[in-house]
Amino acid sequence: MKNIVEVKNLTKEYKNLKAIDNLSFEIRKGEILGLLGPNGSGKSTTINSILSLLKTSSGSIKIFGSEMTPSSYDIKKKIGVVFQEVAVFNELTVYENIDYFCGLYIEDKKLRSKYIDDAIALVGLENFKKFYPKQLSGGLLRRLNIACGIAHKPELIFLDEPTVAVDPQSRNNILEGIKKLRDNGATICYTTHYMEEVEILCDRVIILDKGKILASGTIDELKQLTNIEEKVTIEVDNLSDKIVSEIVEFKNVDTISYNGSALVITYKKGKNNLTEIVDYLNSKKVKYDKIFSERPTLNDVFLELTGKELRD
Amino acid sequence: MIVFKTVLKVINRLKGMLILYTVVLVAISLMNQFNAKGNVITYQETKPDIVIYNKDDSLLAKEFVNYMSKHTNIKDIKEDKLDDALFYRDVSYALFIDSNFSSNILNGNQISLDYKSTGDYNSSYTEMLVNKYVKVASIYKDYYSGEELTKNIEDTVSKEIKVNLSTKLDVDTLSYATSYFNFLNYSFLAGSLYVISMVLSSIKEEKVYKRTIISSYDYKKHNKEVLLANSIVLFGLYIIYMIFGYVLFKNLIFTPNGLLYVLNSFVYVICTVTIGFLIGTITQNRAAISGIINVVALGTSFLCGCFVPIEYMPESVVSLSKILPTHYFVSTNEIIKTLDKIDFNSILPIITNLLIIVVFSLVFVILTNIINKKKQKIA
Repeated sequence: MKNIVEVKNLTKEYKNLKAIDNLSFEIRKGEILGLLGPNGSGKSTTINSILSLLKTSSGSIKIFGSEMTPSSYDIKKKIGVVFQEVAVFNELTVYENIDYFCGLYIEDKKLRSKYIDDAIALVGLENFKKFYPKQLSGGLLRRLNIACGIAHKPELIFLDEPTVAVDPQSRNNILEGIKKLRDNGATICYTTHYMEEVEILCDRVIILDKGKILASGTIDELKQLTNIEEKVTIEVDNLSDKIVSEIVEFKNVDTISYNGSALVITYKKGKNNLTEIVDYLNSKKVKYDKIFSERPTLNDVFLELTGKELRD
Repeated sequence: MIVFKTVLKVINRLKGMLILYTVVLVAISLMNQFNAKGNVITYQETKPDIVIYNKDDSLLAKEFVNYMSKHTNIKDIKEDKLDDALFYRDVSYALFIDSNFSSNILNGNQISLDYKSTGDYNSSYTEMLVNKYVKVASIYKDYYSGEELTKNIEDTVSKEIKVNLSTKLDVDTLSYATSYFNFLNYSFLAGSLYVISMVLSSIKEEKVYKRTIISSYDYKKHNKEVLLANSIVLFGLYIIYMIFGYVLFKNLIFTPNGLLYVLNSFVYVICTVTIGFLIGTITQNRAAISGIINVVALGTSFLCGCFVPIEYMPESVVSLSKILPTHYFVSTNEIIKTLDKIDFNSILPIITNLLIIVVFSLVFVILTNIINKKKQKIA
């Protein structure tokens, strides 16, 4: 698969801080690459560096096979960016805003008009064309922000946490829109700290922390990095310490935690012994409510790699 | 030209304030004119009211009274009512010509004429007329007599010196025009600062700016279009203000003085545009911009004599105002107000002031570029 973006040994240093540290990765044609990491992990700095918005300390960036510089207008023509913060004119309507940002790329008025209509349809703002940004809700503003970034039908799109502080309905709309963009042939780099979004959207994921790549690969590949095979949660009250300590001794149990209302047991790779535990609880006449089993999440991967939660 | 068109759209949304500044300018100029018209007292020749009590029947005394009647209004008031008439200013001067008036002059005796007066300028003028006639009569009595004497006295005292004013300045109109153009400073400065800094606060707002510079639109072209759109709008505003100037001072605008006002305003407009870009570059914070506009536009207008004539200001304030371009704009307007003759020497101070405003503009452009570069380095 052809690489659209190639980043090699990229480093960005501020006075006393290495914001990104020797990053090397590529974005392949037609994929959605997720940059996953907690706040301050270097996701936005990486994107800003790729886009030449920041002067890097070292490393090279190639987009569409050419070196990216602030004056690489031919490359920029094929790129669309949606920043984390809403970047629109408050004095212009929804339509005028999209027209302006699309007009920075597309001169042909007729073609632009068609592209604007497509973008409005993609984000579902058909009924808000004449609204001013101040008249829009947070979710609608985010959709406008996305429309402004992708209206010119770019081949490569950077989406920097586009769903932060967005209501569930708008979030679903945005995620559906991003899938459509990919289906229409765009290559997408998507940064977020919401692992659920990454699991829904991304073909490949790079996990970043403190400016370094901790792991990369498909979601399945990343999950295999963890020793956890399965996580079982049992909703149970008044469990004695003795019972908890006896469950630890069961076969394949890796860790166990109890917070007074839920018992969480993780299993090492291999078979679990759920029936054995259920039988044991019944024999001890312990009354429990729900029992459910989960596969490891990206958060578990992150926890295993860094010792902290993604949202810490 | 998408940037150009967008800037025009943004300015269109800001037009309310521009209209407000223009309305304030026109309203204050009209109020100035109407107020001034009510207060203007045009010169009108008046004759003082006097009373003459003549007890001399001689030809000389009669001709003297005749002469006085040409230059004063002689009223008929009885002598016992005279004090009241003087008190109530019905007359300013009362002259008593005794029966020996003529013989005393002709015989070269000491001449004394009794009088009562209010002591005002009308009475002084009357006294001057009396002295003039008596002095001429005292001299001519040695050379002429009878009717010949009175005729020669009359010829001499009636002689007038014609004075022609060489100036053709319409002082009133020039005063109103100077007030208009001085106040125009405030409207224009506030308007320019408002338009440019608000446009820049929108277009250079950090997030929008980021989105613009990562686009394939040449950023130099982008900046040129921003400059062009702002300049065109502000030039349009300048034209509107000049049209108002023409409407208010039809007979003045196309005279040399009027054209100098127009030129001075044009140079100042360029300067205000550069100030607008400087402030718009310093900050994109809209609340701060509003404060800065008030401080800069109102502050400089007060300091430089746009609202209060500079001659009423303390020397220290006048000295301080010299560091501001508005001082030179106002100073030029004041020079134009009294400019009667157009030659190199008379317009040299105007040229000097205009050049100083141009230098200020260049300094503001340089400062804007330095701040822009510093900001880019920080990014």
